[in-house]
Amino acid sequence: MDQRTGVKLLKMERKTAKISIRCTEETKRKIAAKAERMETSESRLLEEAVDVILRRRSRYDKGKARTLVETQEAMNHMVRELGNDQSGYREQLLDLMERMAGLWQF
Amino acid sequence: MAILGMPSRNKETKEQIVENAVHYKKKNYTNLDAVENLIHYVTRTRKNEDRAGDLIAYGAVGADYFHTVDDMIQQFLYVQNVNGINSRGGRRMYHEVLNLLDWEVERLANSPEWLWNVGMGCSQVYYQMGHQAVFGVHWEPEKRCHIHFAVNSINFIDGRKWHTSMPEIKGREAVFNEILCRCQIMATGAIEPLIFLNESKVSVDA
Repeated sequence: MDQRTGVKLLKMERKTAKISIRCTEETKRKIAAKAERMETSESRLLEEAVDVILRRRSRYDKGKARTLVETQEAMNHMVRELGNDQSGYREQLLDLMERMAGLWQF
Repeated sequence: MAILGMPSRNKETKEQIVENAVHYKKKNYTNLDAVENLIHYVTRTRKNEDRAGDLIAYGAVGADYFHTVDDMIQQFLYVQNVNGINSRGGRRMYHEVLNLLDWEVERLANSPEWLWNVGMGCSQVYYQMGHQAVFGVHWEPEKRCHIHFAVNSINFIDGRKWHTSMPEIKGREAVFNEILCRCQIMATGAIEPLIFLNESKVSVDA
């Protein structure tokens, strides 16, 4: 990295923009207290919170969707593989699937 | 050999149907209720269903087929909504059909269980690619035995859309025929097992 690129990057990282938020006295007090507890500035604390919101791309975690699909398929496989003499386990799995249906609500 | 294709809604003449064994649809499944409509069609659970007798069996991969069809629809929609289908737009489902010849069904001992196994085996191909799929085995006097696949266009692993082409369909058709062949061997226990075993032995040796 040459000197010019380094300077350019430093300029990009410089915090020159300002935003202000309107909130209640209570919220302002809570933010100040939290920042004090975490030994950081109020500005840094709010910036971190904004960063989390910006990284969240959808209402629900996409990782959860993948886990749900893979769990469902694993359970399908288990139910198929269970023999007639294991109907108790089969019933339990089917019951579990039914209760899991609530997790698929968007 | 079983033929894999996409069913066409366009009215074609008999000559055209014979010429084009595999049809590409011009209308895509971009409408809001595409998931619901297609899954209800494949599982023959539409409102006022008049062709319920065509259904031999149905199943799914990556979705719960032991309970209601509405559960499956919800599971497809969940994956689509999490990945922002409403803002992205475009195709929501893929519909493919594997047409079986009469003698191929006979080699499966005309058994619904084996037909289900073929459907499940083929659906696993879509699942391995990262797509949920519902299949339905149908039998109609004109179209004979065929297996419908309703595939979620959104990949549940990376959220990307699935795009397919004719060479890919042909490649998938070959894999499906291999699955069909294996099921036939297991169903009938005919002379093929020896050929099959010899082939796999050669490939292992190579």
